[in-house]
Parts: sequence; C-alpha cells; structure tokens
Amino acid sequence: MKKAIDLLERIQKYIGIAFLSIFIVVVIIQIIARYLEISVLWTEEIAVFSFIWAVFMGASIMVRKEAHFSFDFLKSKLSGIKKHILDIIINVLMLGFTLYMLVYGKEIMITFWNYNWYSLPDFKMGYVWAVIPLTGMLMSIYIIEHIVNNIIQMRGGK
Amino acid sequence: MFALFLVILFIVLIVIGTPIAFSIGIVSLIGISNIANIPNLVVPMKMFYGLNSFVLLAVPLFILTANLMNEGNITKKLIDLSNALVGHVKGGLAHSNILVSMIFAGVSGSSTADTAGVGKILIPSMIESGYDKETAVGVTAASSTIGGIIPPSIVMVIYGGLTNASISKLFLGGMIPGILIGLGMMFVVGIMAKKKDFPRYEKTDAKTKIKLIRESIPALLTPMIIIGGVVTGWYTATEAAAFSSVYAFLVGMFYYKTIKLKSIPRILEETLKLSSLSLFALATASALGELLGYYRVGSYVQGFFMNTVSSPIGFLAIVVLFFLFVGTFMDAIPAMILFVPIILPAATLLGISNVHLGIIIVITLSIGLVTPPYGLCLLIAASIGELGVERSFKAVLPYISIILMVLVLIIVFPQIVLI
Amino acid sequence: GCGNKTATDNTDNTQPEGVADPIKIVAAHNQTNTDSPYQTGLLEFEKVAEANGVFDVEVHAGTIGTSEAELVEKLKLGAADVVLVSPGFMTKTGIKEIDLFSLLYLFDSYDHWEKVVDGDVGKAMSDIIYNKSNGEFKVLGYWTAAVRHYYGKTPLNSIEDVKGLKIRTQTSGAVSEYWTSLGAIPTAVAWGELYQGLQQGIVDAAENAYPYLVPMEHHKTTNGKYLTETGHDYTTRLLLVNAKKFDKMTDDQKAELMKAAEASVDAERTAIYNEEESYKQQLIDDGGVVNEIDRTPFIEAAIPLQDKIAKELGLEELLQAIRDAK
Ligand code: NA
Ligand code: NA
Repeated sequence: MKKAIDLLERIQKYIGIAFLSIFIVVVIIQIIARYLEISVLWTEEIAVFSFIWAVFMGASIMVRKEAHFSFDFLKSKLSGIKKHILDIIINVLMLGFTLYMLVYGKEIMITFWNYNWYSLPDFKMGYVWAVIPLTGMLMSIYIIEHIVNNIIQMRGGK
Repeated sequence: MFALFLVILFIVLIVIGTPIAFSIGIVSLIGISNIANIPNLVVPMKMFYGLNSFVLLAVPLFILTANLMNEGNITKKLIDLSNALVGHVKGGLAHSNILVSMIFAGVSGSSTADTAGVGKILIPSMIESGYDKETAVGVTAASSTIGGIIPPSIVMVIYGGLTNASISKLFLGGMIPGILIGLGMMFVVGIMAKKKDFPRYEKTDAKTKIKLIRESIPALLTPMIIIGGVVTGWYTATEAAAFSSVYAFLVGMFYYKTIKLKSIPRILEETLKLSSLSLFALATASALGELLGYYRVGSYVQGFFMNTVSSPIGFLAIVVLFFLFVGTFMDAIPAMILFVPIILPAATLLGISNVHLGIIIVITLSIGLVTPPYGLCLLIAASIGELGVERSFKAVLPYISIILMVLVLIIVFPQIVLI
Repeated sequence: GCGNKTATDNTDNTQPEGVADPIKIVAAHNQTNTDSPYQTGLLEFEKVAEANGVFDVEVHAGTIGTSEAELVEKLKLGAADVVLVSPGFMTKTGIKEIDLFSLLYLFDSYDHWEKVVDGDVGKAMSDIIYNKSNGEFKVLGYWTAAVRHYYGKTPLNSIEDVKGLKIRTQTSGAVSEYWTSLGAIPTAVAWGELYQGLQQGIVDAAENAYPYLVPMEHHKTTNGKYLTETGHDYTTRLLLVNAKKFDKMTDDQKAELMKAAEASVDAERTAIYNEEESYKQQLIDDGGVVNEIDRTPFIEAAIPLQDKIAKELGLEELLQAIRDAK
C-alpha cells in the first residue's frame, strides 16, 4: 500500500515540477516576445493556469509530508496514545475538507467544463478546474494513510 | 451568535494544531454553508480565483532564485566581498553581516532564506573571531528582516495580490526604509563595537579586493538586474522574478560552475513545496474573504474605525500595534491574508494609499520574524549559534528599536515611501 | 398572477397579510471603488427594487469577486443574482455572438449606441444570450463603461502614426486584431501594472476611457500624456440576472425588477456621461494633452474586420441593422 502511495506522490511531484517549468518558460517567452515586438497574448493565461496546477500539486505533496504551517504547542506536550488521538482528530477534520473539495470540485468542473479560455478559445476551462477534484482526491488518500498509520501505531502500543 | 461560533471554532482548530490553511478552509466552508441561497461550491471556486493572478507567480520564482543562489555559491561570494570591504573596521564582521543582508535582500524576496544562507556561514565565523554569541545571533537575525523590505519581496507580492496595489510601487517604496534600517543597524553595531571592543579583520590588500570584486560582479549584478529592471520598466515584477531565476541559474551553472544539471529537479521540487505552503493558505484565505464579503464584515470594521479614530496617523498607529501583536505568533503571509482585507476599506476611507499602508504592514510584520514565540529568523539564527531563544531575543532588541524608529518616520512622512 | 397584484400594489408601511418576505437579491459588480458609476447604478437598482418591499437587494462592490469571469460563474451557480459584465468575458461562457458589441468603430456616438442597445438589436442580442445559455442568463439592461480613446507617448495625427507602437489593449480577439491590422503591436500588461508600464516605457501607448485612465493617473506618465480622441469603442456592459430565478417570479415581481433595472440604466449612464466630462477636464488641468483626429480612415479600416467577424458569428443582419441605425 505504502509503495503505491509513494508512486502516486512521485507522479504528482513530476506533474508539479512540469507545470512549474512551463510557467517559468512561458513568462520568459513573454519578455522575449515583447522585445522582439511580437504580439503574444496567450502567455498570461497559460502561465497562470500552470501556476495554479503547480500550487495544488505542491500543496497535496505537503499534506503527505504533514508539513503545512501549523501550531504544534499542544501536540508537542502530548505523547503516546493521546498524541495519536489528537492526530486522528486533526486528520479527520482535514479529510472532511478534502472530500468536500473532491465532491464539489467535481461539480464545478462539470458545470464549467465547456467554458472556454479567453485568449485560446479552443481550450476548455474544464482542464483547469479539474485540478480541484484531483487534489481533493489525492489529499484524501494521503490523509487516510495518516489515519491508518496512527491507528496501527496505537494498536502497537506506541 | 453564529459569527462568534465561527471565531471560537477557528481558535480551537488552530490551537489543536490543524494546519492553518485547512483551519481557514473549514471555517469558510461552515460559514458559507450557513448562508441561505449561497451554494457551497463558491468555496473551492474562490480558492481557484484567489490564485488566478499573474503577480502571484513571483512567489515561487523568487523562492527559486534564492534556492539557486544558495546552491550556486552566490551567497558565499557576496559574504567574501562584504568582508573584504568592511571587515577591517572595528566590528567589521557584524557590519559585513548587515551589508550582505542588504545585498541579499536586493536579490531574494525571502528573509528566512537570508538567515539560513548567510547565518550558516557568518555566525560560526563571527564566534570564532571572538564575538559573543549574542552579537552573532542578534545581528544575523535582525539584519535578515531587511530581506522582505528591500525589493524584491514576497510579502509585498502577496500584499499586492490582496489589495490590487501596484507591485512596482510597493517595491520602490520599500527601498528607502530598507536602506535606512540597514544603516541604522550599522550605527547600533558601531556603538556596541566601542563598548564591547569588537575584533576587526586584517585589512584586505587592494589586489585581493579587486580580485574579489571581479569575481563577485555576476553576483552583484543580480540585485541591479532585478531592481533596476523593475524600476526602469524593462519588465514587471513577475517577469523580473522569472528573469532573476534564469540569471541565477546561468551564473551558478556556467560562471561559478557550482550548480549541477542533475540537482535541478531537486531545486525545483524544493521550490514547489515551499511556495505551495503559503499559496495554498492564500487560496483558502480567499474563500474566507468571500465569507467576510457575504457577511459584510468590511463595513462593520470600517464603521468601528470611523467611530473611534479619525486621523490617518492614529489609525496607522493602531495598525502597527495590531500587527506587532499578531506577528509574534503568526507568519507574515497568513497574517496579511487574514487581516489586510478587513483593514483595507477603512484605510481607503481615511485617504491612506494602499502602498503606504502596505509598506507599514510589511515592515511591522518583519519585526515578527525576530520575536518569539513564532519568529522564524530568530529561531533559525538561535539554532545555528546554539544560543537560547530568550537570550537571542534580548540580543535583537536594540535593532528592533531601529525598525520602530523607521516606522514612526514613515507614518509621519508618507513621502518617503510614495516615490 | 392576478391574485398577487392587489397585494404588491398595496404599498403601506405595514405589509399586508399574505405577502411573502421580500426576495433576496445579491447584486454585484467588479469595481472596488465605491464612487464608480457601477456602484451608482446598482444603488439605484437597490433603491427602486426595495421601494415596494418586493425585493431585498444587497449590493457588492468587488466584495464577492473582482474578476468578471468569476461573477458570471457565480451568476450561473446562483451565488449572485444580478451581475454586471463586459461582452468579452461573456464569450468565455461559449456565447460567441456577444462579441459583436466588442467590435471597434461599431458605434458613432452615444446616441447611436443607445438607439441600438435599447432597440431591436439589443432585444435580439438579449434573446441570443437567453437561448444560448439554455435559459440561464437574462439581460436586464445595457450599461456602458464610457468611450475608449488612444493615449500614448505621441499624439496621433494620422492613421500612419499607429504603426510600430506597442499598445496595451484588451486581449480579446477582435480588438487585438484591429490594432494589428493598423500596424500596432498589441501587448499584454496587467491593468494594475500599466502605470509603471507607461512611465517606464514597457509599452508606448494604451487605450481606455477617461473615467478609468484618469483615476489611475496614466495621463501623468511619460508614455500616457497625449490622448487622441479616437473614440474607437463605445463600450457596452451587460446587466444580467439569473434567468432561472427570474422565470420563477410572478409577473408583478418581474415588472418590479424590470422597473428597477430601467432606473439603474438611466442612473448609470447619466453618472458615466458626467464623469467623462469631469475627468477629461481633470486630465487637461493636470497637463495632459488632448487632440481630435479625423476618424474616417480608422472607421474604414474597421469595416472589413466588422464584416468578417459578423460573418463568422452569423450576425450579418444585426451588423447591418446597427449600421442602418446611424
Ligand atoms: Na528583498
Ligand atoms: Na545578516
């Protein structure tokens, strides 16, 4: 199970890096084009949408790594079972939110699938909105993994 | 009543250790679902629109630049040069520490990258040369707060994204206060150097100086290219960020030859992870902004300020006190995301320009970087210098007083930042 | 129906029995500036719609979205009931026909524009929007964001002067195509960055209306000082209502809403016409330079493009009707 999720995280990492690279390249193209006095109006939209994809990919990797900004003074005071219980509570709360991202994100994606991009009317907005349900799903998987791990450790008496 | 419930829920979520981004998201979701007729779909929708802004692209790009600079030895070159230039005066290493932070600030938008990068090299070498730990840690932590004040600045980009203030104007506005703070800190070092009899480096001979300058030219050009480019209008702030990362890459790869091609994916990965932390929080905070919008919180806060303070100076003084308090336990970016949208309408009504307000908030929050319990620059410097947090904090106090003086100056004379 | 008529006509201070609570209407535009004509228009809408207690209107000035695309999407979701958008952003929803109103030099004057949008063409366009959106959007009225002119580092004295200029324009297809056809280089610069862009020479020129460029102080920049009254775009803005919600209303409620919409149209247009005058004066007082130009060659250059796009959209008849209304 862990291996499959590791693979998922790795794939996601590469997608994130790819989108990060795309928007860097596109912004550079925008500067060069302006100096060559060539009119390119699609750079901004591609750059911003790639950026959004990259951010959501990065954010879900950080869910797996449990690295999002948080205050840990309560956690650092607890240990053993109590700490696991607190961890499970937090993860269940997060899971509520990510499942909601999955379900409602999917609805948004479907509702606005056929809206088109502004500078590139052949591109569908659905491609961009898809990042929300996808992230919701991946984050949910990572969070469930954390919950399961906590339960296993609690049973092991750690 | 329900609003009170939301506030309590938020505090509970934060205290038990729920990640800030998720706490904000959960509260927004519950708040929106309580409003009749407004579909819950607007929460994920607003997360998307919170990020749908070209200027925000600067955040990962500046983080990438800082990563490339640390990887590509550019930071090390800047330190060597500063030592050669000011190392021979009394307290030379401390002066050099401030100088390098000012130069680093001109390249990187991030204060914590400065503390980590510069501190790793300078704190040990200061202690070795006979400085007390307090001075080494204090000056390193305090001077790196300049990182977000002298442009470019990630915090300013986020502020611009929240308020539609021009990023270029914010960048220009940060320049003079940043330099004033740097010079003020050097003044503090000057006084302490006499009192504590700080050591000095041997004078670097002219030949070595010239060699070092020649070697550092590509590194020194980086801030000029970024600030110069934004000021002269070769490119916008976002483009400057992209350009600087390409430049830092080329210099590290082909001039200093310290960046290996195979380390690029790792650098990109680190950039992706680090930047997505604040940006994901920005996304959920946009949903919270939506909730505040439907509840019309802006007009209540506005009404409160209109009834209590009527002078811009009084208002700004309250803003400073408020963010000083908030900054002690929160990071600058989430603090702005939460509170700037609430404060902005009142400031606008009082005729305070959003650039002026922005610079004041950015400088105030930079103090939060060196105040416990949550001051990342202080914590990083303290751990490098192996000094307790309390003693470290006492060591940065003289420098904080300089920042406060500059703040008062800016509040009274807005012209300084409205170039 | 008829039963409600007596009830809603009864406008005492106390509500007669049997009348439901007022219908909540969330109305939004994307301008955060609360002095904008949009705000004037929506506040008038609120006033008239609430006068008889039929509606409870909540006006949002940018507080639930500063992006027009976002406002249209909220309208579709029901997160907003009345929003103001430009034709360019409506094309994102797949209703390409509305782009007809984005064509440059389509209108001669405000008189011409009002005659068109308030007449049969406006009606036809609103039917297209209703049908193409599958009954989701209904046009309540046509507002304007004033008339757009060229401004740049040099005044235009002939159409030749446009050649080679890097001009910041809207990025919608028809607009950038027109400027390209004149030999200019349309360039993307974010609105918030345009002041610096003009000051420092990222672009040579821009185009916009007095009430937008003057508050941003573009006329005080090096490359924004000279304004030539090209009058290339008498802009149209659409006041839309969520049609699903509208269709559920009784006839009386619909009539009340339309009355409020009409009042808002008048208020917004009057506000913007006045603002245009005062901002023009301010620009001149600040040292900006305004000149007029013979628009004929510009109009002639626009005609083939108008024909082409109207043909692509299948709206040749509407285009002809607009031209006939001159
Ligand atoms: Na900086
Ligand atoms: Na430093």
